Amino acid sequence: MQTIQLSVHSNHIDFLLSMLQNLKEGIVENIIVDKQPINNSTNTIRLSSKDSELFLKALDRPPKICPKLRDAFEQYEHGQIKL
Amino acid sequence: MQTVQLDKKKHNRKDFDCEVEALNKYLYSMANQHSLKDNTRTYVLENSENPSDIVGYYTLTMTTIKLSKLPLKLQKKHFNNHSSALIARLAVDKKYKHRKIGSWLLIDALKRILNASDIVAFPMVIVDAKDGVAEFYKKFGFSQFLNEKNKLYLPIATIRANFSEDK
Repeated sequence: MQTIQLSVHSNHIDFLLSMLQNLKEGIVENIIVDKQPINNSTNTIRLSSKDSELFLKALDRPPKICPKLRDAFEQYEHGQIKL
Repeated sequence: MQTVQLDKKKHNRKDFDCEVEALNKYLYSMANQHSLKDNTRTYVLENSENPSDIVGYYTLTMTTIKLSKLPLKLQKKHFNNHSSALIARLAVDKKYKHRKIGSWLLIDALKRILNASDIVAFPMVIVDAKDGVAEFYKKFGFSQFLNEKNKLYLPIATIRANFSEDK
């Protein structure tokens, strides 16, 4: 018996139906469905009006120095982190 | 230490365990396929003494940010859609926790993204902070959206300013 794992996305409906048919016919034993899509790489992130405003403000602001980011960069560059 | 692209023939994906099942599964079963389709790139940090051993990994891709309908004066100034780099996943094997490997991988990812933005230009990095790790990214200057709690953002200009050698 074979176990097949897939994520649920609208593009997968036909595939999901065929898998259910396989399940019914005993070709596969289990179908595991993740709670979140595995591949969200092509998703568009749709922002609310408040989040859109935050996004644009961040683009307009002058860049700021973040000490923790700067420190991590320097540790990286100087090879201070070891396995 | 340096990261290389995931090589399924070389890297032992099966034994990687970051204690988050979704991230383990992604590395084992999806990362290579997504890379072959040019959907994502997964970079792994190898243990130099045993290169098949994966210390940690991150996955990069692009995403589109679609803004809500903007007031007219903002529409003139900004696009409604923005391309952004997305750090879709970042994980460290439990054997290597508490050694600042996560922050090292984040800097490595941001350096790659900064280099890419110099070539193709995009203004923002988004991180998908699964499983409540938003606080980790906030420490490094990422800001959290109000409605998209698991998504955080950092302008490319901020990365460039912080990574400049002449500070």
